[in-house]
Amino acid sequence: MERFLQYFFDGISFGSIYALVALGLVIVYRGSGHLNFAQGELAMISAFLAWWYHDIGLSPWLAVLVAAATAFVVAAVIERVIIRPIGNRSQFAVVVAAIGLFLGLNALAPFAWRVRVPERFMALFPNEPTDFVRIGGAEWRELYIGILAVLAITGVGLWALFQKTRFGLAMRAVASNPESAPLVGIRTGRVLAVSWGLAAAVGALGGCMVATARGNVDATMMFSIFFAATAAAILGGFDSLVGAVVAGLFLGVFETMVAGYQPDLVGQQLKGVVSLLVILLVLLIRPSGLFGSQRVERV
Amino acid sequence: MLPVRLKQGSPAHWALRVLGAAVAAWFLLSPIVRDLSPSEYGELTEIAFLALAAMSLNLLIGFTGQISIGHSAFFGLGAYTLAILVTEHGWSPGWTYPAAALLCFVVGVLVGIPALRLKGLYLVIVTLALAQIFPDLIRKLDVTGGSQGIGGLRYDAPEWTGLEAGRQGRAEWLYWVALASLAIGYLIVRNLVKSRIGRAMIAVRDNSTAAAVMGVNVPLVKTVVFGLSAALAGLAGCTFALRQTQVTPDNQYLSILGSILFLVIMVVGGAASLLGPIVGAFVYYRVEEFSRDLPDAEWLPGFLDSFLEGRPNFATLVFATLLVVLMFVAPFGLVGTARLLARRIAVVVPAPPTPPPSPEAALPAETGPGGDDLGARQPAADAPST
Repeated sequence: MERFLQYFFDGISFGSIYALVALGLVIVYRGSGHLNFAQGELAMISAFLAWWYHDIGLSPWLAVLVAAATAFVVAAVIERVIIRPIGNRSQFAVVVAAIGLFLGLNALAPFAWRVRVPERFMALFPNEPTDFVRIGGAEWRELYIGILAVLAITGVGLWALFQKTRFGLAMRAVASNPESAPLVGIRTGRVLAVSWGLAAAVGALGGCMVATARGNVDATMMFSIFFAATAAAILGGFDSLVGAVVAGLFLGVFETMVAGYQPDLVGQQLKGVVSLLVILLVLLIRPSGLFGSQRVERV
Repeated sequence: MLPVRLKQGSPAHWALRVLGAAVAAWFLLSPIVRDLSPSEYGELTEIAFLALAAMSLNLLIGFTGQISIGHSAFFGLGAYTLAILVTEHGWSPGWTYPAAALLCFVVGVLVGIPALRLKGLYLVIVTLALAQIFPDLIRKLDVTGGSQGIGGLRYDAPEWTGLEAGRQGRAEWLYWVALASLAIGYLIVRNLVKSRIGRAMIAVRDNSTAAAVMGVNVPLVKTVVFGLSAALAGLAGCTFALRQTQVTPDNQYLSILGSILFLVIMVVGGAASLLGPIVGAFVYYRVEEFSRDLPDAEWLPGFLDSFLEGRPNFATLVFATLLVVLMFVAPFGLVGTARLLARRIAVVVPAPPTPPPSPEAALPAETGPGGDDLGARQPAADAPST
């Protein structure tokens, strides 16, 4: 039981990070039907930005928030300048452009900051060896509780934005019917740009959480997390915010348990296989995921 | 009066063809007379296997419209097949090529079967999963040498070639092996694309629902093309393993970055163009080399020199920007753009179909008959199945 709880607590924290990145993926997908390949790398760059802002004198949390704001602006500009004009052309071109962004952002971090080895990232939560809460014999580190709290606050904030504001209503309208939304006076373009910005800002929080949990920032740190977040988004149904959070947390816990109880067969190294199997199972059995809406395609 | 109109099969057209073939042959075969050093042969070998990897993607993405970013896994599978067969079972490297291609074909088909249900983004995600997991898997397994990898791979030139035994001979021989596998890959892709299957592939790409209605067996086409594409990527991986003389899971070509680089090469060269991947690989390699040496260049002004000091990945940034810009200005890459320009100078008028048109002949081939749209028709590369 103690072991189970321990894996649960560890898994929840991985899951919170997956959920944050998956939320970003879902926000973009709902708006425009694109998979934002660069989501993970945008988060990585944002973590670098937060590190840099802190380095030049901002307090740690202020640095994170300013980095998220920067990510918002950058992603909104990317949507307006690159993705939207190309998207009018073809889906393939969007995928290629997003892959180009992935490649470029990934190369940009070491280029811009002359980083060759991972840089130390500031601690956002108490993270001394003694900073944990003991529940049922298992240790729940305060760092992990903090990350979960960030997810909770972000989730509630997004819920409020989508359900309680006029702009959220416009975003939901664009998601449910992109053709009719402009007819009732919604400025679709602005909604899409804001979706990208919002997604990047949420992803930036995710990136900073990854960095503070690892203790450093590295250009390749988001590869496996982006992949797990994609799996979470698929499991959650790709167009459901609740689904992304639930599936992200579930995937984190499930993966940690599989790796923990099967240290020889799976272990830490092959955790990714769990995500792969989840993706395949969902796609073969229930392509719309747990919470996704079924879509009918017309020819 | 431009453009000049040439009849298909006329002497002038043949002269152009012969000239093109001669230029290509000079590029590929001139190492015989140019007396290159082993490292220069190594560069050409690298260009050849990058071109083959990009060609395998082109078959899948450019002609069939199925986007994969998991080809680094097949590339790595080929490389590891060669390494294991050579070191553990004492095979001659040459024989491992067909074995690796076969294995990759089978694995590709197995991956392709669940991928049949998947369209667009979902296929991208499943192949992303492949690319992500492959290095983890080989790190975990024992037969692959774990994170140490497998070393000591080399392919001595057989005696009948008359090449010397040392480093020079090996580099030279590997170039010819790489060239031969590239040529085989080119012929396979070319013949496939110009055949009935190729038209089916293009139909699947442009509108898979319409293709199915027209009687194309869409699942079969997708699976077989996926398998073939994987096999070609595996062949490229074999040459890669020999060129490196070792395989390790940390090599960037075996990670997701590898898949992305192949995609970059394909798109820069020209999607849905036969020569595109070769041109793309050449340009990619040379530009990469140029920008790697750039910080040391003497003609560079001092402020740029100090700006670039200690900043890696300049080439990657250039290509990432190029990829995005190309999507705006030239979605068909360098070859597609060159073809558009060439069409302003000369147009080949296709010969009218001679026999009374049979139903097969009435199908639009790559060069449609007559009309305003003369010359080789640009395949609409940017419309995968929705």
